[in-house]
Amino acid sequence: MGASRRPSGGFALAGAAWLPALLVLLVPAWLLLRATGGDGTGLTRVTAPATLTLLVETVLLAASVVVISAVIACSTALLVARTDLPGRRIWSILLALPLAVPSYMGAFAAIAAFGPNGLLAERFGAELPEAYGPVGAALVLALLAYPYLFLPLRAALLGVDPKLEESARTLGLTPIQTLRRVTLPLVRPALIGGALMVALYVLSDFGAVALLQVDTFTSVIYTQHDAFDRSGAAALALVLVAVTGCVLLLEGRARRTWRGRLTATRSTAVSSDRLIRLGRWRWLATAWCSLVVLAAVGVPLMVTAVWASSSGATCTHCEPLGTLALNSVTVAGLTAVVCMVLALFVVRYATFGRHRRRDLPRRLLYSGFALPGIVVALAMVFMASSWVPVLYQTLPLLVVACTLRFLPQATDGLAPAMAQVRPSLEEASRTLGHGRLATFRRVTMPLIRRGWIAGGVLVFLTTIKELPATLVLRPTGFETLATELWDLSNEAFLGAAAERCILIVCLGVLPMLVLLAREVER
Amino acid sequence: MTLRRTEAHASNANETEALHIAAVDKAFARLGVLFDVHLQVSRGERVALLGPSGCGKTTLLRIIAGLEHADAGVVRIDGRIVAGPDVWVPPEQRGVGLVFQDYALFPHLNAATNVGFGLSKPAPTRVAELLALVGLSDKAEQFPHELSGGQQQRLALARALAPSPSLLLLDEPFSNLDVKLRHALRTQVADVVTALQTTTVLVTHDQQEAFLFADRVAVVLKGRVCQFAPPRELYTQPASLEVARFVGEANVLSGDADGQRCETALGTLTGRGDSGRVQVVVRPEQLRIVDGASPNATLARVQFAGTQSRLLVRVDGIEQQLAMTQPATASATSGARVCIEVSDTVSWFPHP
Repeated sequence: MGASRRPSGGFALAGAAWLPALLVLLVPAWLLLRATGGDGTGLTRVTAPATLTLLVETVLLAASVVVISAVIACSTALLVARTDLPGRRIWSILLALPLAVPSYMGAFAAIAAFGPNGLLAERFGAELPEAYGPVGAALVLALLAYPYLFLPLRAALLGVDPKLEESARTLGLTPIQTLRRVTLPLVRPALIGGALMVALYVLSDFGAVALLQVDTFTSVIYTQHDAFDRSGAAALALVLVAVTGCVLLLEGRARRTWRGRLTATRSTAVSSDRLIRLGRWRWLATAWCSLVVLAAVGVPLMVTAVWASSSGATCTHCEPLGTLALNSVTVAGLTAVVCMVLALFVVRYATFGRHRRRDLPRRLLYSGFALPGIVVALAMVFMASSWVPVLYQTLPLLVVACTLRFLPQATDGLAPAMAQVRPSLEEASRTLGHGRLATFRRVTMPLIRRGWIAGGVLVFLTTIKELPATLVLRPTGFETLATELWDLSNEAFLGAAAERCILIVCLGVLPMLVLLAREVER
Repeated sequence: MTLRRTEAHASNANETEALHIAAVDKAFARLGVLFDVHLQVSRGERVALLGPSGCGKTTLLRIIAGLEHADAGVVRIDGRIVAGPDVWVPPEQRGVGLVFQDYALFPHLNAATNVGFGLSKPAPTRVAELLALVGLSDKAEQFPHELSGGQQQRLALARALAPSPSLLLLDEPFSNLDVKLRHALRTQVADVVTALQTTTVLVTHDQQEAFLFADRVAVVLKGRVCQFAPPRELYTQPASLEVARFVGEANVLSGDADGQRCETALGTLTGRGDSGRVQVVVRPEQLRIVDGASPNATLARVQFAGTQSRLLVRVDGIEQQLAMTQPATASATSGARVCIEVSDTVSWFPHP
């Protein structure tokens, strides 16, 4: 009876929750239209042998990135949350930084640093393995995507009720057994959710796979587009949508086999005597964390810095950096705000009700995160020019496209926070004389604020990095850091490009630092 | 039922009526939870809704508070209709205080701000007054998780009382506390609401708690109010066998009733009920051992429980064992043959 007592929220809430999901669903509908249109050869691409090869390669890449990310994220999250690793608060921040590194930057750095003529080879004169190919791509992507797993895992590890682990110890389990049989099963939802985000990140990534010369659906879709094979590209995008659907189904199954339910516990500060003592292993642990951060953030920054300082950083025909940064921040900021508002409705709708279909909008939105930016962008162009021509090449349309792509990051941040708000808290406020809005402002908001803002920050920094949708949808003459970075690198102004790249990372890192600095207080 | 009033009568609301519930129905997903519920509570009265878990008593409380919509019926607080056909007053405008079973204290606010939450403007003196009332003056700066269970409970009470509600609702507020604390707090809460003359409705599944707290108790079974009466009347004159079984312990014997007499295996009993084949309710304390008379039963078990002993007896001619109590000072050994008789008037109900 408990669940049915929750307020349903009425049609307004349902409408606001379903609106973005329906917009995302319009993308595959448009793709279907595209793929079957033209000379009708589009759909034959779906069954072509090359598509099957592509499918296998893409799935293999995504799977291996998930596995590598999981290894990195589990080990580092356990170290910062459960051991006496020296400086574990600082490490919590440093290990999240790769989120701000664009994948093209990571790939560039890998190519520049490794390989026969790379910076490292030049300096040390040693033979180093090639960065190109699926192995290099998997490593680069894993190093950039693992924070999607690390952050929820760390939060979940800190949130596990200490009483549960203590009772396992009193029942005769060693610390390692407790970890395996109690702690890890309890954080499994975080693990599954994070793995999903990593997999979708790989499916939608263009920068890294293109530079490292690996074929995935997304990179081939781009090539098709450039070759003006629009219906072929649409057909491939449809297959990608199907793959995403399978990933979402897998994730749903994995979640459902877990029948337990974490009761909301207040986060207890982990007292220092509950931490696992690393002893002399602490140096190895520190070395591991250093290696991860150095490879994921240090090397890209170093390589870019070397370029920015060496080859002519000045660019005569460029917009001033201030204007570019302002434009980037405008797009990213607007997208973050829109995502935060929509996430509120979507998560609210999913949380307050017992029917599984109430969670459907939230889950459908994940497909937006997996779609290549260019597909979403072109779908927007089509819809705008058919239905609302005034929107074409305007800032609002660009914000809509970025919102559809990145909204899942906002809902992921908000959902666990919203789950902590027991219905009785809001009901108590109502019986004490406060209306819906006042109750939201005075009770719900303070309780969800942290997760809500965290989701917004994540949207902000991925939008700052975003390139393809911005390239297609930006208003004429509107340049952002990412679009000019693209133009400059095409014109081989590498120094100036590197400068913008560093600025992108900085703009993304700043809000993240503010957020994480408060987060690691606990 | 005697509680039933016609609509015409009910609309002629009487001045001392704090809460009036008429013909309330409620179903969740087509599953009926409340059926034709009627209840009238006078101003300043302490009332308990007593029933097993899942009987609908909490739902009724939430309908009164406005946290749940009734499917049919009318709810009136202080003469004002707050829920009914075409009328719906949202919870924040009902002037009802509710203490939740889990207390629902705001984890981001300290004790003082929790208490002040329902006040329209900051009123430090009022907050201090209430904290003093519940004995938490020295905890004003503490956060909910820093307080013990009993302190959290009292804080939730202070918060609900702060806006001076005309009606206070308590949803199993003592169930998360240990026995001693429960007794102490129940007395304290009863004293506080009596001093403030606040009409109070307590929801509980604990018969003793309901009896000790309330002036009148409504027994709610399977979504219906089966009887609404003072505790003593409820216990001695239950309206049905179900009520008798739920309120206190009941030995049930078969018998043949005729007027005020009833023939049973324990002899001819006097009491109330319909004539014919009946089921007779005999309370454990209504049974006693008579010395010297010819034995009609065997003591199956003797249990010492402090102030009194609990005995299980097997009466000749009756299948099941009967429970009875007697002062612990009286001697009894299991296996002994004794004479049992009923010392009081009893109630009986038609055989189903």
